[in-house]
Amino acid sequence: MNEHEFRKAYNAYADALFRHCYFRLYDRERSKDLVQDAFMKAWGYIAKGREVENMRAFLYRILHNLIVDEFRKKKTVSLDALKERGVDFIAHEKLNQNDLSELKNIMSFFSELPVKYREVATMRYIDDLTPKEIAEITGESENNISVRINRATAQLRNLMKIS
Amino acid sequence: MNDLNEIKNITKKITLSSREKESAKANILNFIRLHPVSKPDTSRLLSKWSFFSLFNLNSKPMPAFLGILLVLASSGGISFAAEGALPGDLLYPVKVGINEEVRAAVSFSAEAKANWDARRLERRLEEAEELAHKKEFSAEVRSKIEENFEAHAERVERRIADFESKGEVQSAADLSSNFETSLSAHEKILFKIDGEEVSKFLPKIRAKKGSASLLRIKMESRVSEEPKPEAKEAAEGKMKVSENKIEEVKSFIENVRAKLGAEATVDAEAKLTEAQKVWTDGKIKFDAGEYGEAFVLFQRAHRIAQEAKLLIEAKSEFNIDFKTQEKEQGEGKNSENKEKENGRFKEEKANIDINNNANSNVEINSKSEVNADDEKIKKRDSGNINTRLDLGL
Repeated sequence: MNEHEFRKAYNAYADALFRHCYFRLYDRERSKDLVQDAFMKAWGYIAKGREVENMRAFLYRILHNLIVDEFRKKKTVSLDALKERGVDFIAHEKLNQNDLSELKNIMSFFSELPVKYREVATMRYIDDLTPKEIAEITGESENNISVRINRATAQLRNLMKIS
Repeated sequence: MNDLNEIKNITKKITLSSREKESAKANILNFIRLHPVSKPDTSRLLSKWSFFSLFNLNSKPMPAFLGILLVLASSGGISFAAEGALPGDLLYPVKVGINEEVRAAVSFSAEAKANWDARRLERRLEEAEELAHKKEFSAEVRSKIEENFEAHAERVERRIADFESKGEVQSAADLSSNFETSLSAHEKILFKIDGEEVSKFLPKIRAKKGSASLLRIKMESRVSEEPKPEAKEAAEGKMKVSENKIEEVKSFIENVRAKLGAEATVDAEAKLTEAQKVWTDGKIKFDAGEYGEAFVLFQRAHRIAQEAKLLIEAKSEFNIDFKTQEKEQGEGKNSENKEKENGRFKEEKANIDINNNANSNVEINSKSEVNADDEKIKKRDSGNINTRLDLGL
């Protein structure tokens, strides 16, 4: 992996990683920080001459760990606190009213899921990762992940009242 | 929306702005260029990274001159070489005035900025230690370091006050605890290294440490005053963080022991045992629902563990022995002697562990000479550059 390839990886994954982080932390600034950190760490690993098979999963994994640590350090941001602060994702995206309200709905439903369910639901439905990839990222068995996804899905459907 | 699979279509509208994206990319590329792919034995890469940036992340554009300075500084490895500079060296102004300022500008969040301020403070203390060790800690050097030290310490205090006023009590407590530990550990180290001018610097550190302690205690009581669910979360978070810290220091000590022998790590191990005990006490309080007290104990365990690590690092670097220190210092207060405070912003062991999240530094032990275009750049040891690249947030 050289700088050129790494740059390609950045172009390909930065947005998705940011999005992933954002939907877990609800903090734009912090998300930007963590995404940068993740790339740095990834490079640090690579610069030691180590091979990375799946760059995307590798980056997600590093980011996931950073997010988990973030949760450990501070109390989780509740959606109420978020509302108080004013949801800050509107920075540059030109979102119309409809999009905005849909996003808020999604965030609201997701925030009602228990942490572990929210984790996999985000990865499955927002990041569009496969159970295998999610397992790789979280370091858990594919089986556990699949089961959890099913349960999270059921709960989510229930919350959203989707048949 | 009718189907869960539609979620991604909506959420994918959340992205980085092109400016944000380019900004971060520039930072990352800068970083990459400073860390080319190298042989494993010449670089030791550690957990957390930060970076240099050419770009300002707010909407206001970066002043042109700063941009130019950065380009100059980053090219030719000058900013890289500056990282090893000490007060009196030609490149020291680059280290403090450019590198550190750039890093300050780069961080997005208040936490990252606060952490960096605390880290800068530590760098001043580390510089003092290195110079004192080399017996180069002159009066001139002392006044320079003191000035910077005071400035950085004040910034950290302001950060703590900021967090407090925003109600971010946990962040305030974290920062104040780490602040205290840094000061405490480095004070001990400098005391041990000793020197005429050093002994003039020490009172200032002690004074700051004293106020840091008070601040920390105040922040801890703020956490205790939080409503029960928040206090519980804070305690729980601290429980995990301190548990991780103890594990981290444990591995670190094992590594050191493997290299330097059991004798070298005896004290550190004793401290770690103490940290574990305090942690266990914290757990008991936590289980009993006394979250405020639990939080205090977990923080103390964290401090003890971190201090153990800082001291053992100093020990191997400067070859000093802390065993007799406590008797010599005789600081009187029981709690101070027993309570070994710790800081969070410090180096970690060599092997990269991507699951680790403490702040850390890159240590590059390079035997080759600095390739400087400017011949006037003074090398500390000819042919041997021991550069600590600070990449912690």
